[in-house]
Amino acid sequence: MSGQNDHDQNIAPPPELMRLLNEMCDGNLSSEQLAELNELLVSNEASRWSYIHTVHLREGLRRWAKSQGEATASDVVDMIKRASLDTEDVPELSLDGEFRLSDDAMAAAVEASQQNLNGSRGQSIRIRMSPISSKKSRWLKVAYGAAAMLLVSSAFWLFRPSSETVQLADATPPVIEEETALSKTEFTLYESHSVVARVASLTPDVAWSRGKEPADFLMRLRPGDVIGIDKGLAKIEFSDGAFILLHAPGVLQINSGSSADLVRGKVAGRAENGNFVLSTPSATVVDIGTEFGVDVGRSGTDVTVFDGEVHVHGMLSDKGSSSVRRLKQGMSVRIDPGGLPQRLLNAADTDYSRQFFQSAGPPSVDQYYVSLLDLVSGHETAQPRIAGSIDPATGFWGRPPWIDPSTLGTQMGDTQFTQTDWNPMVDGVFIPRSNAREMQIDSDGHMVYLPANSGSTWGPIWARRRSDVDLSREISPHSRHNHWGSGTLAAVRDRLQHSHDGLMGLHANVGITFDLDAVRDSRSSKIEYLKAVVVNLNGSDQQTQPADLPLADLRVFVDGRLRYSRLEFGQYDGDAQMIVPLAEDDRFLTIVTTDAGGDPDFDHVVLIDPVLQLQPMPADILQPDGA
Amino acid sequence: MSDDQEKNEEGRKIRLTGEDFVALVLQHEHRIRGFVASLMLPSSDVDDVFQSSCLAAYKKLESFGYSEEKTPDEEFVRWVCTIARYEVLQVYRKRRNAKVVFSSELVSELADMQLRETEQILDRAEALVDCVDRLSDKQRSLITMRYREGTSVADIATFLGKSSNGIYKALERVRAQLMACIRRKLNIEGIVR
Repeated sequence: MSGQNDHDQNIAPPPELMRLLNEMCDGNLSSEQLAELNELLVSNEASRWSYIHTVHLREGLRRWAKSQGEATASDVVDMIKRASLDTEDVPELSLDGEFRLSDDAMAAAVEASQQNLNGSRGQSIRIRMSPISSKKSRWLKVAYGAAAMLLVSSAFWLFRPSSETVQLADATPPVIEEETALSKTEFTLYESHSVVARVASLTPDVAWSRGKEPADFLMRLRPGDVIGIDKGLAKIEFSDGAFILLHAPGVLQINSGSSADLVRGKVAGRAENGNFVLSTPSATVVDIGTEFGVDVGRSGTDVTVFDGEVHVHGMLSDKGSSSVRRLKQGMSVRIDPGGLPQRLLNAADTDYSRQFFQSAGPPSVDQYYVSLLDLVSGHETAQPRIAGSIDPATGFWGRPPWIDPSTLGTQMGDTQFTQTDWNPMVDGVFIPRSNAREMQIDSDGHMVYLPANSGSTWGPIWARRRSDVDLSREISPHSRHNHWGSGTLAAVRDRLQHSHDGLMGLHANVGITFDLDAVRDSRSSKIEYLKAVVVNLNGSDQQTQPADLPLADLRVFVDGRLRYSRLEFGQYDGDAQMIVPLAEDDRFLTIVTTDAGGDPDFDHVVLIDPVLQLQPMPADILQPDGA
Repeated sequence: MSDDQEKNEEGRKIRLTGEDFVALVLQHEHRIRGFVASLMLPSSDVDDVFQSSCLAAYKKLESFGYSEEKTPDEEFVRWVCTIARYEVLQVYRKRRNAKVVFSSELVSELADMQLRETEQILDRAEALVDCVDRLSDKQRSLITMRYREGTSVADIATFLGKSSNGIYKALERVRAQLMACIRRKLNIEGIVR
């Protein structure tokens, strides 16, 4: 072996050696190349140094890359708290990383390491951290600080079972689960300007009264909103769980998540939770958990109980409220315009349409596929809803993030995957981390790498079914309610009118995960594939040059594995058909949009007619008319 | 030095506790792993040997001490690497199915070279951190995918919508760029001989 150092270490290796070292780094070294490398290393010290430096470079990059995973001291503290069985020992842990392993932890670590070497798997480890003594020398504090970071990033080499699976006692994420559970309890909306109801569905013949159509493209309603129809039926869903079926001609004003004013016309109502309050010019009807009908006419207010019990107060013009009338199933009462009860009537529910409350089953076309629009809009897949949305930060369906002019809808991600317990078809939602790091994308804990992005998004994930309603009167493109806020709405409206089912919007950067098992269970059917047309409608009604338009990425993962991607596409890249085959054991389907490394503004990714195909059907049925 | 002097010298050395040991191993993990990898090529065996080396070192912890004039880092790395060197040879001897890539003579030579130059290797590692900072965001993302997640080149290619060959080339360019950066940096600082 040559011991002569005839090359300076600081000279780049010759190309032949460089080629072998690159193959080595990529794990592609063949037997012949290994022999070639061996020969070079034996014969030449400079080659040996080049080889050594390359191996250390690889290890250095590995270390650097792992250090990107958990970069903050608070992450370390959180990790330690989760890892420790006795969190009372932890609070003194300071954020500058000064801590030490207790003897117990060390012993456990060594024991686990030994068992690991002996082939045992799944060893649970108890780790307890305690503050470092102030008398410790400075180098140790530095070492401990570094160790604190590496404890996380190196996945506890001492505790790593040979299966690569780290099992720490009580290391499941209870904190996250608790936080999620807590946030779910806040479903009832809280701020006066928040969405408290939405138009859930419409009959095809519905005609809005002029100036009384929902201002929101997604037909969400806020306190004070007034809606009116001249023809057809509109089903209104309140955040507290009540439904109102507004008959034409009728006008309804939304007051809160559990109350409304019927200005004129008639409604059928159902409030299984009770305590829904419907006021009319002459009466207040308090639902005690029932189904009822209310009709406001020139003769006063007629109240009919179909099922359960309601309380009716007459609104006396000069004396306030009259006595309470309790009505049970089959009973009716008329309250005259002066607020006085006039006479009891026999229940005549035939005057009311209650068709939307009865589950008549899905339309025939839905026997063949499930629309993601319905999965986003709510869990009643058998009852298609006209629109729906999910806040990607909280998982709520109703919150209008752009209502506050100071934020205009921009939401920063909290790097958490948020489960949407209210909707069994949707596993959860998230806003991807801003830096290129792992992100949990489903409740099974699958982690995927997502590219660097701005870490923010705009508005909700939304779904809107096509309807025959005249959309031009629904909303002005320049309204403050124009979600996505960039004049894209005209293009959205146009594509909606030419779609088969409707559109789903995912403004970069968001992700949504569907539970395929829940869909299979609800339909007792296999799912064959996901199909949609992918398009970026960014500022489509504006005369912007292609080079100036923002780009977006869309990726589809199944159980954490990438199955489809369309990258760096903008308005002028047109439509792309997406088909993602799905196997029987595929569980979680995740769709993620990111901003392609640029600015997230105007990254208006839309899926046209997104469906889960249940069984073969003629191709023309799924083909969107205008896609 | 007489036996008594040696005993006195040994007696003045500071011993490490178990916690100190863990902290030092975690801090210098990349150096020790790099040493092990250089003796047997980067492979899955490296993890096993790294762990067994650390365990062997921990069992012998009482035999390690360092003088109070300096920090234990370099002595510690040299000490664990020396143990690792024998662990590598032991693996080669005991496990017939272990992928033997180098002769014992070459393993010893590679080990000796590194043990002689531990500080220089440390300088290069520190320079590397600065050099990575100078890479573009896309290059750093590529490194993260390849080395943090262990994502295969084929998967990265699918993920980024590029060809596998393109990803190989990109990784090559990154490594070459980093090597050049390290050389420049150490030349400027007069560290490389």
